[in-house]
Formats: sequence, structure tokens, C-alpha cells
Amino acid sequence: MISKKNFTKTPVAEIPADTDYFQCNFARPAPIDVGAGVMRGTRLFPGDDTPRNFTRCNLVNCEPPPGSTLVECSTWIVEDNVVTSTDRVRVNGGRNLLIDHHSHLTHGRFNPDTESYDDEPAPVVAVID
Amino acid sequence: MTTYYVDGAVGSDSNAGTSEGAGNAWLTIGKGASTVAAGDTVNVKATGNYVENVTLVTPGAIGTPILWQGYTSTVGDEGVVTIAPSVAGYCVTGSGEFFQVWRNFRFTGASNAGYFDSSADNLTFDNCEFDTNGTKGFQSDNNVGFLRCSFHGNTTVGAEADDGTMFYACVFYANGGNGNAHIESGQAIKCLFYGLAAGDDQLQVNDLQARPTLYVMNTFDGENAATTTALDINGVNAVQSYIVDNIIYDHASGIDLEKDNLGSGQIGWNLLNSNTTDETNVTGSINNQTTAPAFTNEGTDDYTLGATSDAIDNGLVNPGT
Repeated sequence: MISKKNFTKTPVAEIPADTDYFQCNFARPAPIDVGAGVMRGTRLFPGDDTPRNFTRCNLVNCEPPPGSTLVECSTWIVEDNVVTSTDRVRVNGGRNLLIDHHSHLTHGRFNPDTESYDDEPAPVVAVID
Repeated sequence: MTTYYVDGAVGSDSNAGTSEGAGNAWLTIGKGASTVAAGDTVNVKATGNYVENVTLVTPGAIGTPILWQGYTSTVGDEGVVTIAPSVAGYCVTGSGEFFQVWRNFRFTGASNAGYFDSSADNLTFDNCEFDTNGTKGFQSDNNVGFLRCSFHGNTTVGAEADDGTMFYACVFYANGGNGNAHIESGQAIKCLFYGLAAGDDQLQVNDLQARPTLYVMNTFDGENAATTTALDINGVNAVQSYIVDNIIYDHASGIDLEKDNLGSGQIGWNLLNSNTTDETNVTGSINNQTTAPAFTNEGTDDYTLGATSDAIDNGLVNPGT
């Protein structure tokens, strides 16, 4: 078992292989846009379909191998600090400034068995500034 | 000042909520959030299932905070209540709901932060866990106290707060994105920080202002991750700041003051070992130990100290760390 390890900046191909992971953080900063408005997580253990057991792990923006067992894991597909609108502001009647508005977008929870999203059929946007 | 009860197994939100059990207790914490007034207590039974996004709408006040308290069978037994939302958002959020006290709660599995109230001051958390959330484990404003709390496995920072943040006997590990904790000023006492990714900070202090700071008797293990910093202090105009009796081990950078700005305080009596650079922009550091910390078993995250550790009986504040 591998426990309490942080793999957030470890390339997925370099994450040590085991059968059980406990309280590990695999989260990726952003999902992958696969087109047609579909965002998916980064595939963990690429090329290796061995099912694994994840307990209380952060799998945000990740895709575990098919058939894996997930217990109290977080499987959201989210985008943080996404620029969702931009305002042009004129300063003292002269210079123009562009102000970006950032949001947090949640696309849903990824279901590794169906390879589809549970919950949230449309992105949920939370404005953060 | 009313005491309410929530039981996610047998309660109902149409009950009065003023005593335990079916027919009396509420079903959801959200019902409590929409009902309480300053000075009220809400006792939440840990055997219930709390799959909800709780929105606070009422602040407490000085002397009359709102107390949220988890229990298993008897109030005070420290049974931990898990709040894990089923839909996008936060476990708990508010818009400036000051003076809340949370005891024995776990905030987990949110698509956004676990607990988020960016304009709330004077919050207290005792024996709480913030883990596996989609952004930060915790985020709020000033004067937040954490006692015996754990922050781990959150996508970005474990905890982010502003001035006057206090961590006592807290544990931080495996938070991604930016590091384990970001505050503007405050204190960390008897805390444990480890499990960083390369380039992150264990404890980042960004805007000290003219406030005293205290980082005492903490253990920082960088686990040889590249470019990590244990204690990164960026602010200006600090007064009476003390960084003593800490174990700072296996980082790229141990203590980085950015500016030599700790005012009239004291820095020293730390155990500094296996850091590429122990101290940056530090003057007057004294009485440090440089031997290996002799953790009982770093590989299994057992950071208790072996009997031969030089961190024992060489401290300033108290013998040992």
C-alpha cells in the first residue's frame, strides 16, 4: 500500500505502481479537453488497465484504470481560475485596461466504470472574482 | 441560546430539533444553518449521513458564537461528523458569517473548497479534518484558529487565511498546487508539515503587517522534493516574531525571510538538517542543531523522535520538540 503521498506534480507515467493507495493526492490542475465540449481527467497508469484500490484519495481531474475500486475518493472534473468574461475599462478617459473575471467550473464527477459523468449535466460556475 | 440536535439517520427537518432521536432531531445540518441564532449550539450525530452543501446565513457574535459540535453517542465524545457534498460547490460556505466554532467535523469531497467564507473572521475549528477537496481545504479571512486539525489531499492549498491565523497541533500533508498552508500572519505551534510536491511551500506567510508572529516547535519534512521551502515569509514590518524550536529537514530552502524583517523577535534553537540552504536573509540566528532529527520512522510518517535526537532537551521554549 502507498499512503499519504502527493503525486500532484508527478508525471502519471512515473507514479509508482501498487494495488492500494490510501489518502494519496493524484489531482491534476485542469482536465483535458477532448473536444465536443467534453472534459476528461488525466489517465492514471497509462497503458496499464490493472484495476486498483483507492481509498480517501484525491482523483480530481484524473481517470483511474477501469474497474478500480474507489472508497471516499473525490472524482470531480473541475477547472479553476478560468477566465469566463473580460471587461474593457477606460482609465481617466485614456488608456484601456482589460479586466478578466475568473470562475471555478465544475463539470461533474467522473464514473470510472461507465466512463461518463455522474451528477451535474452542465458545468456549474462559481465566480471567484 | 438554544441547543439543537441533528441526526442524519433518523431525524426530520420538520421536527423541532431541540432534543435527540427520531421525532425530535433534525435530519440535515442545513436545517440548522437556516435556523440558528448567535449563541446557539448545534449537536450533530456522527452516525448520520450528511451528503449536503451547507450554506451559513447567520453570524455569531463576540461572546455568543454559534457552536457546531459532532458526537457519536454522547455530546463531548468527539465523534467526527463527515460533510461530503453530492453536488458541486463547498461542504460549508457563507458570506461573512463570523464567530462560528466547529468541533469534530470532516469537510471532504467538495468540488470547490471544503470550507469557504472569504469574508468571515473569528472562526474556530477544533479536531476537524479538511481533505480531498477540489480546490482548497479551507479559505476565510482574519483571526481563524485551528486546534488539532488535519489538512491533506486537497487539490491546491490545505488552508488559506489572512491575518492572525493560528494553527496549534495541526497536521498538513499532500496538498497540491501551491503548498500546505498560506496565511498573511499568525502562529503555528506544534504542527507537522510534510508531503509537498516540488516547488511548493510548507507554510507561506505573505503579508505580515505590523503583527507579532510565532512559529514554534513545528516539524517540517521536505522529503527531498526539489525547490521546496519550509517557512517562506514575504511580508514587511513584522514585530516581535519568533521562529524557535522547529525541526526543518530535507528542503531546498529551510527558512526564507525574503527580507530580514522579523523585528525585535528571535530566531534560533532550530534543528536544521539536510536542507540545501538552511536560512536565507536571516541574521542573528543562534543555538541551532545540525544533526539528523532521528525521526522514529519517516517512511511511515512516524515523526516522533528517537531517544538520541538532538531536538530533545536543546530547545528554548521547552525541552524537546
